[in-house]
Amino acid sequence: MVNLRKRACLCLSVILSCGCLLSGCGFRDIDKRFFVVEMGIDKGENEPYKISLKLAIPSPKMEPGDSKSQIITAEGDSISATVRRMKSMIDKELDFGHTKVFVFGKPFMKENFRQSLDWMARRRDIQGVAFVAIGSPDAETVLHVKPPSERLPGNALILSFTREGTDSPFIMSEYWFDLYRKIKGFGKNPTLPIITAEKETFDISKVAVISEGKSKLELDAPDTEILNQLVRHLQRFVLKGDFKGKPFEMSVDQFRKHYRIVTPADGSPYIEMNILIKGEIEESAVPLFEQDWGALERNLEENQKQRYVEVLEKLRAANVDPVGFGVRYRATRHAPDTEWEDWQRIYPHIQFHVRVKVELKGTGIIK
Amino acid sequence: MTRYYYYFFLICMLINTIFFVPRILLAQRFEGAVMALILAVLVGSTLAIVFTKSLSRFPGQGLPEIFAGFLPSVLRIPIILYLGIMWGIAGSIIIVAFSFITNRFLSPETSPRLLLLCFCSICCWASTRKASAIISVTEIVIVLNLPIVAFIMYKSYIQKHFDWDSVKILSDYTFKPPSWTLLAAATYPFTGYINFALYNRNFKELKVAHLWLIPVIGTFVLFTSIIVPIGLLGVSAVGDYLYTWISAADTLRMQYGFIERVVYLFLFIYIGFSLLFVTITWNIGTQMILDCLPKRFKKTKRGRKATPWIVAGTIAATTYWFGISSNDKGMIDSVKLWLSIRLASEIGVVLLIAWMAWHKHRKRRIRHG
Repeated sequence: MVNLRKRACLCLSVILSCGCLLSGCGFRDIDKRFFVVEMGIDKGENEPYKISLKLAIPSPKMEPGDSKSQIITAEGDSISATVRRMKSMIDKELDFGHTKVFVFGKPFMKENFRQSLDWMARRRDIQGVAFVAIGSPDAETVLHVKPPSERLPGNALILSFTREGTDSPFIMSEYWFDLYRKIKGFGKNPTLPIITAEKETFDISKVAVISEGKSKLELDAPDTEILNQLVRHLQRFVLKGDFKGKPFEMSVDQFRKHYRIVTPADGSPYIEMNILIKGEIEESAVPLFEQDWGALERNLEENQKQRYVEVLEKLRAANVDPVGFGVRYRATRHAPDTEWEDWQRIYPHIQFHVRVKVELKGTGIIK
Repeated sequence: MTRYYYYFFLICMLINTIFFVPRILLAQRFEGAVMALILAVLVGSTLAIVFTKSLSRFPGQGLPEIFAGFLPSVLRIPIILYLGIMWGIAGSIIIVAFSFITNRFLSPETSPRLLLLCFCSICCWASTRKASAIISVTEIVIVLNLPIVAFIMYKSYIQKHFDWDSVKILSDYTFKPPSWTLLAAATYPFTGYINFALYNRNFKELKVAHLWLIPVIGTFVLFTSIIVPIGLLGVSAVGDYLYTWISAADTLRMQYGFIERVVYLFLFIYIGFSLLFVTITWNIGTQMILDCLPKRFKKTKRGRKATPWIVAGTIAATTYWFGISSNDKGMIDSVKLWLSIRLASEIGVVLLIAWMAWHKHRKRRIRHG
């Protein structure tokens, strides 16, 4: 009995002494944190960097247009110094764990922005699945746009990029981890979507191809759509055709792409690309059901093939490679020491042999 | 019986696919890492199978008892003591690495010392439990966590951004001779079987069915641990990352999951795996060291033994001291050194056991004519 009591005393004292360790773990409560939802990086007027942070203000209601946020901006000579400087502008701890969108200003992208990526890669709390984009006219303006339908701060851009909301064929979103691996690797140029700020909304329909740490080629909306199909295997888009002078459109629901790089010993190298597209007629000026579908398909194939070759040649002319032909070349050739130099020699002269096969599955619910 | 064998095999496999092994291999991915992987499957499986077959000739006996029948104590005690320390270090490096990771990714504001102290005391307490209790806990942890690990592996392979071309680029670098350190790192995941050097005591007979599963699971897990980071982080950029697998898990996203970032799911599973792994290794280390102590130290005090606590406490205290005085760079260098020594010692132990098994077999044959 005495033994038991002694043991109980010992147990109790051990437990109580553990209390000494509970001086708190330095953890800051959630109400003492500011969650950064979007971050904008621009070229400053006087200093090399101008950072804008969109801070979410939590609110108990979640109704359209009720999203509350605050934007703070500061300039500095490095990102980390500027962010540290910004801590004195607010009353809470900055938390980058929920930063989903990083916007680089368009003028900033004209210069070498590679160095600014180091800060993002080095920090433990930046998400690999954050989105990176270019802001036009600059990042700060994009951050200031407040769509009236937004329920949560920064949610409008997130929904556009994740494809959970809109499913536009013009949006070519880029994950942060994907950008980093392409910039560090050889043979595939990263692309960044360009967000154009409008009064109460955004327009994300263009894309910029990045090469050597700066924005090298900017594609307009129609070319962006084509590139989106080639790079991201986008499944939903529209093909335009014409039947005896009357236009019609086909909505695509399946898209498959295969390609191989052929370098014959004698003769010029070429890329053989086979594309299979399946879909239904979405709009037409004349009834098409009774017509010869083979002719319709050939018309679409011809149009589409031309578009692909046009865009691919435009990219080749700018010496950028967002599709990743270079990576494929390195993957399929077995000369690790010379293949990258070989490819750089080959790419400017490569020919594109594109074969498109269109399969029409129906004409919608009317003839 | 068979299933316990595979639990220990799996826990070692899974622990080492996230800590140092992929990082060491990927740092030298262009200088022989692929060859090291292929050789490791051969060497690792051979060692595992030879060890298991030999040990089955000594039913219910641990390494110290087996050695006692063959070696004089002048040889036996240093060997067992050395093995005990090696086991201790195996757990120590994992717990230090894990406290670094927890500190960095889960609770950056907590003091690293406090974190390490907590982990060390938990494992110190757990490693003084009975071996049979630890074996049962292993089963529970594996059964609870394995489906989630399988889910993460599946999710990373079907990820839309998985770049197989990057993986294929690596195939150009297959036929490069690997260094000893690379081979040592690549064979480490196969080492789970070695825990039976002591846990064999808890089983009447070591009979393992489906031994062919060792190379099969081994190849799959080992290659996954290299291919997934390359496919997700890119063949060039993968060398930049210090916590390769955590960064790779951070590229996964569960759109409609309870938590969006897969990396947190991953970290929480590995808390369980790491603490369990450390418990196992420290338990074996403690038992091995205890076996070398003279009889008079094994006195019981009021029905309880104090010596396991002292030995485990010493290991934990040393680990704590090592943890607070080391940094990222010193850590990886010492792990590389330890791994190289480990492979040599492992081959030595397996050869010794095989020789003893053969000896016993021959003796019996002679006796029976």
